[in-house]
Amino acid sequence: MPDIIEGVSPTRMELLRLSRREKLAEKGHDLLREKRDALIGEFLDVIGEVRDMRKEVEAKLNEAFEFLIIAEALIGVEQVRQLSMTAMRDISLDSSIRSIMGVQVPILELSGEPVRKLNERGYSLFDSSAALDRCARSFEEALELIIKLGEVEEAVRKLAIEVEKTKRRVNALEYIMIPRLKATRKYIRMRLEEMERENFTRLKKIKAMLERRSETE
Amino acid sequence: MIAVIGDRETAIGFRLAGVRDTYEVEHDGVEVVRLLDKLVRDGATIILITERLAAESHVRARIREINGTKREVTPIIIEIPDKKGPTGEGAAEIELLIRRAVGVALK
Repeated sequence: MPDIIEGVSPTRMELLRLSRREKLAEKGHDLLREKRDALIGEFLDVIGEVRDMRKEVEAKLNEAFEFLIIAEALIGVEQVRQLSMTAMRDISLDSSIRSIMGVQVPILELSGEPVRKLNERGYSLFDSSAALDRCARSFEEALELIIKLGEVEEAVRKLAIEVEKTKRRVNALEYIMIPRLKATRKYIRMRLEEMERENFTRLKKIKAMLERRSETE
Repeated sequence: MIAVIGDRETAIGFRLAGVRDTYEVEHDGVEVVRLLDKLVRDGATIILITERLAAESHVRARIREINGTKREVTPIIIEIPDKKGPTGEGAAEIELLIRRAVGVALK
């Protein structure tokens, strides 16, 4: 038996007010439940995406590191490091926000083409080799995929928080608020009925007393 | 701003891909936490960190803290495998979130 709301006076006014609150709570509960179901739907969609994308990133990075090792073997570990220092490093990122059912998720966009032309990378072509170009290209492609994955993972994170919050609200209404309102309403109704019965017997008693008095007179 | 925190090879790779802010760290959790704090302060949009560095216990704690307290959608911290291949840590973090939100593990 859920507990009743403390400090309510058993009056008809209060009873009316409670039934209005209960209706509102039930409406809110329905709406939130719909929101929760829709959110979980969205959530399941992005989960599939995020898993596929992570696999893709892992494969691409694996390939990129292989090319890096080949480049290091061909032109020397220290030389590769030196060349990486002289590479053009001007990739920049724009971020904006979009909303999925009121949840703010990021949109990330690399400005310009992440996969650059050979002569745009900035390192000296004379000192490097085709293996390094292949390696740079793989890392550029990997970066593009990672940015996309970051975007989707963040969406998953935000949606997860919102799903949890909504679930908690739905449960609070369903298992605490609404039962408590119902119990309080029942309590007041019973108190009112009890008072009515008391009144009824009181009236009967008075009537009997009055009759007895008129008989003796 | 894109930032990369990783071992030597990861840093070299992403420098070749055109990333300006790359930091080379080898197993130094304190240094990684310091870098993360600095990058968050500087308003990084996305921070790439290798799974092996992120798995270190106070790095992991700080990443969760940053994710838990940020008001905006950025900075996004994403864990990537290093030259030794994926450890599954990056994916595991997301799976944890999914389990908490849906209540069950989803296949």
